[in-house]
Amino acid sequence: VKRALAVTLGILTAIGGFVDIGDLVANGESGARFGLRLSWVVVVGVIGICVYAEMAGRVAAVSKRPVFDLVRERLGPRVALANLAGSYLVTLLTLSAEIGGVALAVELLTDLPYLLWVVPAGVVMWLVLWRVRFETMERVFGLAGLALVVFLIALFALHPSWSHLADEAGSLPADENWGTYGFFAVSLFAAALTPYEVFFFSSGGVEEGWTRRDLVTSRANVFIGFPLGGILSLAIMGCAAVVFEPAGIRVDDLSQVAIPVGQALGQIGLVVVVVGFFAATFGAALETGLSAGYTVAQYFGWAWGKLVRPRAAARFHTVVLVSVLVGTVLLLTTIDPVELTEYSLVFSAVALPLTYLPILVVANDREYLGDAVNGRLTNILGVTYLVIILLVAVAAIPLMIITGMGQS
Amino acid sequence: MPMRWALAGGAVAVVAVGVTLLLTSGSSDSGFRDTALGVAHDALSAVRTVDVLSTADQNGSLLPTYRSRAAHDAATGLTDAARELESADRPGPGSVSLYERLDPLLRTAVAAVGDAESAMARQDMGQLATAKSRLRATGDGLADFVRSTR
Repeated sequence: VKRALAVTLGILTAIGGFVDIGDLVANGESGARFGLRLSWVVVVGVIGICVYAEMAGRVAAVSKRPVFDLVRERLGPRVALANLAGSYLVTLLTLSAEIGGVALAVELLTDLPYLLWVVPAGVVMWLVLWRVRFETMERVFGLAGLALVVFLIALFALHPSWSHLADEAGSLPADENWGTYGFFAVSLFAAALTPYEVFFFSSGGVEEGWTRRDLVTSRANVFIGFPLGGILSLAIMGCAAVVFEPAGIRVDDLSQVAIPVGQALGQIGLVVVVVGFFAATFGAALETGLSAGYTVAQYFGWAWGKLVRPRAAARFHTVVLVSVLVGTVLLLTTIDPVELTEYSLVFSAVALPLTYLPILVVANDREYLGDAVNGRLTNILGVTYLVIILLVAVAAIPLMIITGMGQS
Repeated sequence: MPMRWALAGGAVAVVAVGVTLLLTSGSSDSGFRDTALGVAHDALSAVRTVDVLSTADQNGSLLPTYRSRAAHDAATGLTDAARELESADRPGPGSVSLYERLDPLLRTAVAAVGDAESAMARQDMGQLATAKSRLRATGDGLADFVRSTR
């Protein structure tokens, strides 16, 4: 019973923790512009993150070391440094965007400008990272993120014409072009496969002391929790498709993403959705803050993690603190958090191969995994996704330039 | 080594072409048309967002803090769009004619959104109903502009 409870709790946490500022923005924007025409990208992205997160979790559970601890050992310092540089910079951008999301969520509840909330959000975040136990932190924000289920309820309460939404699938809206379609496809794909998710998943597994026995928990989180989290992403897209697309409204602000919920469920729905925004972005900010520390500390072979006493992992905690500080200062330049999110998604897309190729290599290494290396099906899926990831990485910057960040 | 330099050169060339395209996009009639279309889309979004908010507010579905912030976000988006149009170069008669069609629509949109925002803040349902009909008319005007200019 205890084990079943732990698995259920893990699944719920995975669902609630799946959506972050990137998913909120990318799904809201693409739903408003393309209806559900890009929903297939979310499905493809969720399968991709499942394939690779399962590998990362397996590596952590069997070798008792996180994937990126092994990357330097297996691929050498130069390749690992490229991996570190790309992944760290993208994680830093994402961290800043998440802190911006927290400030925007508080702004919606207080009507005070988000810039006033950026520094308090950064300080509280760092205090939580410093003081709160890993498991408590993960559970509380993951479960609170389940508030975003309200999008699913709102979607049904809006009584959409499902047949109409399905009929549109094969065509482009009259005022859109394939370049913009491609740009939003890249953003959605990057939102589903954000690099920090696998750093956090594998390092978190080590923090929680996973062993081979925990593979069931890990796989349940991945194969049940992530797809259900993906359904929340689709619900956000669906709500935007029903309310905004017919009216020709483009989504540029986080406040707009909540409108369909208010329209369908009233004030209570709005309170729940804004709490969901807060939990999702704060939880993701904690994960990205830790991931920033994990990547650097694991590359240099320093002591790392929440289970190690801060004095014993001083360099890890310093990297986390500096990353939170840089993320906060970046927002104080008054850069729009939604624009920052859009940029973080594009650069995530570019950095995806640097994150996912090493996972595939390590997950095939018998020296670390013994008989738990990838099977044939996992390798077929892994290689297929690596090809997709490479195509997305190559297309991201040209599409960003040609479409003017999806504005054309 | 030469392969690396070729790749780096290719990447620099792609970025340079992109930056050139971005910098020169506003300096022709077609560049101005793209700017005007983007501005009209942004204005249409703002007007119709406030329209949707007004309806939800009439139904008592919005929290006061949320309503105020969401309306403010839309109004800011509209002001930014109007500013972008104002600052764009109008290199030829085609651009001037487009500008003269869009500018009055933007002015009406700014006024209608401002009226709706203040009506929602004061919870004056009579003024809100009037503002909503102006929002509808302006939204339709902007949608026509987008359709005919595309």
